[in-house]
Amino acid sequence: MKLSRRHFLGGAAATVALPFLPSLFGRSAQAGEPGTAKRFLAFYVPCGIHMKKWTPSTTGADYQLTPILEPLSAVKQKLLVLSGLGNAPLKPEGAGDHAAGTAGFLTCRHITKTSGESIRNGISIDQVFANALAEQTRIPSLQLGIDGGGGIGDCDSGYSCAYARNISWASETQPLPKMTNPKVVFDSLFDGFDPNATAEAIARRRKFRSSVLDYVNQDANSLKNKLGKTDQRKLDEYLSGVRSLEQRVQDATELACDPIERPGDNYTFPEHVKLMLDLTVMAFQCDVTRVVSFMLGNAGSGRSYEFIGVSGAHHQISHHQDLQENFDKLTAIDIWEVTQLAYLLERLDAIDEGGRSILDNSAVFFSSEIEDGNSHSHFNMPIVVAGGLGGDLPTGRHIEYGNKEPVANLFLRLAQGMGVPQSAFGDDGTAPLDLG
Amino acid sequence: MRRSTWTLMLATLFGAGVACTGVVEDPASGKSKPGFPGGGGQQPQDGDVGRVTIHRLNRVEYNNTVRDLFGTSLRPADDFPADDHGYGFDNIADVLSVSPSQLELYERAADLLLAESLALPTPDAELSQVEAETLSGSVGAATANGWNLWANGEVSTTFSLPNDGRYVVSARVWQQAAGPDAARATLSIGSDSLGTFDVNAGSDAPQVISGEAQLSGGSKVVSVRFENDFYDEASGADRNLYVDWLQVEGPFGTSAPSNAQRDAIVPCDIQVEGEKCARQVLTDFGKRAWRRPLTVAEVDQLMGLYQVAVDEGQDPNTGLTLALKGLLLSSQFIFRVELDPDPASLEPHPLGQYELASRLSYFLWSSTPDDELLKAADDGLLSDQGTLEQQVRRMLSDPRSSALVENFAGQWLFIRALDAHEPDTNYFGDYDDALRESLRQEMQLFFEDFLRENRPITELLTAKYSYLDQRLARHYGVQTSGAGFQRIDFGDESGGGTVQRGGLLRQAGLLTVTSYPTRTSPVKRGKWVLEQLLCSAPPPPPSDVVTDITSDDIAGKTLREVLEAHRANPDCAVCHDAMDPIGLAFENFNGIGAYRSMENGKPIDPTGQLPDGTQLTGASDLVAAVAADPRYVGCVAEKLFTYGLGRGPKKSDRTRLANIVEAAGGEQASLESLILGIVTSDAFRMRRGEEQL
Repeated sequence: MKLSRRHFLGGAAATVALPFLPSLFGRSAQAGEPGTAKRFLAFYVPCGIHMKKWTPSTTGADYQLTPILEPLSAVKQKLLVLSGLGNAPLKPEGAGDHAAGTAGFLTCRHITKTSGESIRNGISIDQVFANALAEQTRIPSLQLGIDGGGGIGDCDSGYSCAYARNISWASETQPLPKMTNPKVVFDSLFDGFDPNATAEAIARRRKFRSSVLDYVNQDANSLKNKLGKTDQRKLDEYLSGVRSLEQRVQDATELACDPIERPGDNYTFPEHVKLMLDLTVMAFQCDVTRVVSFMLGNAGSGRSYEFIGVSGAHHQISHHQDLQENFDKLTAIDIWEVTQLAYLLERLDAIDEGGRSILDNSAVFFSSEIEDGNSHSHFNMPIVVAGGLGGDLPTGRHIEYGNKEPVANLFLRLAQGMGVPQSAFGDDGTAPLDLG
Repeated sequence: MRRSTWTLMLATLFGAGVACTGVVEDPASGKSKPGFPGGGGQQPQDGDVGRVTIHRLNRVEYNNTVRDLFGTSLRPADDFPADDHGYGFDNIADVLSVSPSQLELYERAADLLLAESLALPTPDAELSQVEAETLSGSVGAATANGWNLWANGEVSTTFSLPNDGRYVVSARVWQQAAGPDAARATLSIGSDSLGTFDVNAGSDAPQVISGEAQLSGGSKVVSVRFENDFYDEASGADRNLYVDWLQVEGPFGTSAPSNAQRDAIVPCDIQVEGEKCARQVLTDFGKRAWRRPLTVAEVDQLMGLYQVAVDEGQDPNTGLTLALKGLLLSSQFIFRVELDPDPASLEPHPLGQYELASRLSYFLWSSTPDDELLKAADDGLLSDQGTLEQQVRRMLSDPRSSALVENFAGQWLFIRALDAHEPDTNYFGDYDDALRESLRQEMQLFFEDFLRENRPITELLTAKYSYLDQRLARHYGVQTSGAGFQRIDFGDESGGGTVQRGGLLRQAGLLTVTSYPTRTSPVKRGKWVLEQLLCSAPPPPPSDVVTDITSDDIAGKTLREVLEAHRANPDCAVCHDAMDPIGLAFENFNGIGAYRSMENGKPIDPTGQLPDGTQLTGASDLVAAVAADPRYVGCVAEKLFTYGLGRGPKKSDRTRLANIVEAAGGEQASLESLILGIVTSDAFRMRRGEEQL
């Protein structure tokens, strides 16, 4: 039996819950040699980490997991715990560390302070990878998150919400908003799948979609010629969306994976997180995309963790004032966050790709927008990198850099491992980080 | 008040941060120079009309637009990524970007909308079934569950068909087998045979025989005839045909009932008239969708999509659907387009009539212009100030203007913040979703009064009434009767009325969203008043300063005592002297806005002093002081201006805003007079190009 991806779900049929299909062997023809596809995932948690319960006391391979890192014990050998890396460019103008730290999370750029006009950041590292791998998969990258917006007022001390809510940036001026509705993500991953469509109907549908996209492409290009510079930039965003959609329509490769059931509309926060992580696993497993960024919350999130017995808003607690009560609360929240990471990593590690797991072939970057909620420091960032990038990363160790190396250099090192080497990155990335 | 005074007051409104000493910080200082749109070094002159970046419809605007275009209740944009905010609103053109995933969602939305509204009407097919044992056949007899045709003959009944159309006729049958052949049954409707079937099924698993026919409406006889009776006297073998039921289902594929959504868009018969009809729809509906007439060339291009489908052997309706999909996915629909004769010229020019119509409708309705507005644009009437004002008044009295409550007030007054705010139920056990909804409705109903009645906007703060339902009345400790929301007069304090309530600032919704989940925050409340009502945001605290208070600090103290200790630090005092007294005046309202007189066993002291020396005995004095502050009306004007244009206010707007406030009546200004002032201002009616670097 041969399942074409377009034979899977389509339009109205997408409302039907999917059966759990047995996994088909092999990857799509364009994916390269089986088991060699490298993936990148950025996992963002807001409000910093309680470092006293995070940082291992010793370095090297024999380090002991700390209370916050303990949930990762099952994949300890596949981790790099990196201490003493700084992200100096993220220091904002005055206050605004949450927004600046979030916008620069993957760009390592100092952002322009503005409530709206003349947004300036830089391309994020996940998008560098997405651009390089765009031809390999149907969707170049996915941006996932939990909190969409609904925020009110200024996001953070004179910084636009665009900075506080987006870690993925396609260019200096274009943030990539995240999808927060699991059902919408699911439909995106399996766009056009219809198990009942005939080959002729599939061909016709593709032709119709392409014709419409050709039309809007031409139409937008002729409009663009009549516009000023700023407006042209907005049209460019639109046009790159059209091109990306065209590519998805053209690409009719086969699907080789186990789809989960199409998510419903009702879920608690922990269920929401789990759904997004399951979708991430599915996206990698199905090779729909190789680049994902995930935000557990927006910058300086005020989420309540009452469900694990922690009262108060996360952001408020993170201004801990060295009080033990707050340390305890932060530790509980951080452990919960790392438990989510552990769930994801263990799932990725359970999928074999010919001797290696998906985790072995990936790099998962976990961190926060600041070091600590009191100091709002951008040094000694809490960082875990999981996965081996196909044996490229020397995992299973804790390394201390003494704030002499920037996060941007870590990204340069990961870029090397991804097979997308860069000579420089962000404001201060000059050479790949030495992982020993 | 003289104009110069308004200008002076408004002078403090601009810039990223206004230091608490009153010195205006230059937001363009340092590395983060935002620069003039266009990126040139040139700074805009006072009075510059500015320019609004091409404006992508935000989620609310998209939903409202398709609601008004299609008459649909679908809200496809609910699935789009959240819109980013700037300047406190989510309709700021500069921050509304488009991502690749969004294009995919636009495509899905267009498919969904067109599937619903362009579907050729297919009436719901009806199914009628008659049990055969209730009939009497030409031969045989009724059994417990069917009719036994024990010899060649038939059982029949009459169905009444509602309409012309295609019908499926069927019967459930089984045989009592005997002899070499299976029983044969002929199914007929009227004089037409739908086929003769071999019936191999026994009574344990009967089979359904069926056939289709194109039929006209009216009465029709359906029959099953037994064709090959068999009986062997010697062995007693007896072949019989049993009929369980007869049924008719249909009609399918008729054009009897109509699809009202479709009729509004497609007034002609596309399947018959084809191209001519498609062209008409694209011209007429296209104008509504793109908010301006399409050129012949544009219609031709869309007809190209129609042709693609027809060339593929699809019917004209499919062709029209494809062309309309192009219309909806086009940048001309997704963006509000405004063109400059010369995009590189900084010389201001009046907006085109249709561009102005769109600015107006998206400001007042968060939606597309209606036919009347487009007609005024057709006739070139919108350049006339009188017509423009008349349209504004008409549109404000239209129910669609409730978009201003939802979106403008929702963001200006933080009503929307109720969605995400989660008071900690360990501290506020009374709070639940029902109360949240009541808090929201109170704020919305109250604000709506100011939209519907031309009253001074200062009364938003000083009014002595509100709208309460039973739940809220209980929360406020007020007596009401009856269901739903009722207008409740709190009475005059001096007359011994309910002293605690009245005006926006004492509404529990606002008091809730300016609190922490576990306690009140006088600082947040004070900052909110400064930012949202006086447009005098205090600068953020230095980042190395401890800014929060924990329960250990609070133990045994009132928040006032805690904050007083904090203000002893001069670095903190410089701003907190302005914020804290405002917030402390509301300390009689807890973290969900319920009244209280004690905190931690101590009586609450809501008195204080503003930096200018004004003495406060509590919330009433504070409300009066804010309402009397000339910055207040200027600030309302600035917020409306920002929302109405979808761009941030600039220093070059300062005189303009002062003029708008003065013309609107100064402290007597109402929402309507401010909106009229904004709409008739040159910034709203004109635009310019930008330097092309």
